[in-house]
Amino acid sequence: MHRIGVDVGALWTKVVLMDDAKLAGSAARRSTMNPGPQVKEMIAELTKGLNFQPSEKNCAATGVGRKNIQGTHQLTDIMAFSKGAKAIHPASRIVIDMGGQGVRLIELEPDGSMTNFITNDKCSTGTGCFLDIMAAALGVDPAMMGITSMTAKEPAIINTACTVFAESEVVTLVAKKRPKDEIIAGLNDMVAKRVAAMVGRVTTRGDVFLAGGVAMNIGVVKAIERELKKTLIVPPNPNMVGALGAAVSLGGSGAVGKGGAGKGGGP
Amino acid sequence: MPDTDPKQRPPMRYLNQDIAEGALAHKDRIIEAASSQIKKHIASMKALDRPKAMDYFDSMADIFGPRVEELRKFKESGGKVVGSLCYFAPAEIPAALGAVPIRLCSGVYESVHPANDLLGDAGLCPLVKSTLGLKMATASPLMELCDIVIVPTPCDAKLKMGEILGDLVDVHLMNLPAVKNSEAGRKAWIEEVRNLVIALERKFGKKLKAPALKKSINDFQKAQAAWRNFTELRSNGGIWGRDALLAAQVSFYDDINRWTHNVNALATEMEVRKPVAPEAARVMLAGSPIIWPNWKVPQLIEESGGIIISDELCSGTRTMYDPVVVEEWTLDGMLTALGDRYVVPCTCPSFSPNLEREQNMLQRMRSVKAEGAVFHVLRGCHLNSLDATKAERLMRREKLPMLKIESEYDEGDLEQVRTRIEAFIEMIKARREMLT
Repeated sequence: MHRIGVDVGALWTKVVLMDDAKLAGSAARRSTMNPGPQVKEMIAELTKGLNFQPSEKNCAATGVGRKNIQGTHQLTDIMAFSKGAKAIHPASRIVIDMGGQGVRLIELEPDGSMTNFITNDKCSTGTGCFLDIMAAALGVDPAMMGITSMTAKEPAIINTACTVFAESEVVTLVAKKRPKDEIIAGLNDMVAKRVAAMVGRVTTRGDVFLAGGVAMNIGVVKAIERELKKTLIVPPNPNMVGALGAAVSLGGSGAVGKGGAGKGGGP
Repeated sequence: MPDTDPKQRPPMRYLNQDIAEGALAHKDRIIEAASSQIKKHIASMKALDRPKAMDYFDSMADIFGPRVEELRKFKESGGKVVGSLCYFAPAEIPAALGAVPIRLCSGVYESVHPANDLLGDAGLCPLVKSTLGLKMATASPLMELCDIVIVPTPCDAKLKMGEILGDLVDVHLMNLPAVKNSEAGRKAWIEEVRNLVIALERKFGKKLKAPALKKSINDFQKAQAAWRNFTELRSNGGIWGRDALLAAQVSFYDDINRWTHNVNALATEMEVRKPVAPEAARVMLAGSPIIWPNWKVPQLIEESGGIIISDELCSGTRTMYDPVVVEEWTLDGMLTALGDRYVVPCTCPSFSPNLEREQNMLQRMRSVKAEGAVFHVLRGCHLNSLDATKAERLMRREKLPMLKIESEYDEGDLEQVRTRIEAFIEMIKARREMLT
């Protein structure tokens, strides 16, 4: 049976198509002010030739914009990420979602049930938006932030966590001729410290699963691993975990086959 | 009375002419915004299945409405009105002196602005700023009727608000002990209760008499008994939490005997009512006071598939829950009993140690079969934020989910808070499937 999971995020809208437990396709586009028609189009493209009729039975939506996607099963992004993480890596105990506007931490029991979550509020540091703004200030492609940071000899120290002040700090560092890779590494470190502090606030220990678009930034991933002194579980397409979790929430299959979440296109 | 004449008041220390006049410019907007909030919330509560007896509390819910007219007439005939903040000022005492006690804690959003104009970003909780702003803008007719305002000092914000309010109205401060579990703390507080009697006697030129205090205590005992009875009946889920909170808060300014009568009517109906939402997640609401019409958190809980089955708020269940237990009906015996009633069972986070709080919360959650707790913290209310940490430890140990929500007096964070509450309720319901 085919199922569709939609994740209407603050920056990107993601759609996955599942064929039983297998990931059969995925797509991501910049979110728009009018997600309804956009999602409809994305679903139509993914399900071409399948005679797929979206309904509450076979189509689930999550993310901040989910309420605009009518006629679908709905769940919060927190629940979707917990389900997505469990489907991809059943041993996950802590799920960190680093999305466009939010950083969330979810605690899972060994059986996969969620027991607690914490979220950032009124502060965008560590989110995709934050890193996009910093990339713009540096004149770097946001998708290259991770790779670029890997050559840094010594990460710059970014003192402030406020987006506006951090941007001016970055501009000052550029003016002082600090290499860009070191500035980016410094930003990644700062973001990682905040995420590590969230992990420090909870008592659950075990496998840490990192999801959300920011997890595609290898610099942030490595910096969090250094902070936590632990290897993170990062799926091949971490930005698709919410959409995948939505699809999984419709019931049917359990764990997703190895490499499953890796197929299909992402940004 | 010379001291109620503004010309006779001491010079202002916090306010100046500019700030005072600027605050008055907010008045109409505050009243308009608060009135529309009240209308909106009443309409959404009325749209749900609720006891018929709630009609009375709806009719009293307008803080600019019928009760103001009653009290205005009362004042015109020579009556006195005594305002108080917080839970600690024994209302029985002004009532025994023939005055009407009213509690002034405010849930009005718009009135935080004049207070912000005065204080800048002082990091104070919005409840205190809102109350202060109402007085600065003269926007609360109930507050304007007060001859004197009693301000106990549980936290920094209330402590300093007492001083600032002194620029605008007669204030009597009550020094609340931070450590209550000591004989010294208890004695000091009972002394404060006696000082309150002296201050009010002086203010009204009238002596407190034992028979009048006994009558007043009896009236409040009846109110407390009615409220406890209602609280027990409520746990069957026959009423939405918002309705129960509103009923509690009408007691802040209503005639106490009329309120008791209406709570009894509500309780009678509750005996035969079916659960209003049998599938809803049963939520315990804890933390900072939630004051009408700041209905953001309760409304989000009950719009997202939950029902507030109980609360431990000083503006909710705790308002009238504990009885005054008098051993000796002498003036002294009654004042001692009053002092004890308002402090000993109180689990305000201003006390240390305050270990009963989370224990009571847990016990209550067990007895009403609550499935999780939402611990609400008004931003700037450090004491509740600290108690939340402690409550969370216990809840985790007992495998009960708890969500801490920080919020302010505006609707800017409405959708963010909604997302968290929705996820929390989803989690409770998913857990339910796992547990069965």
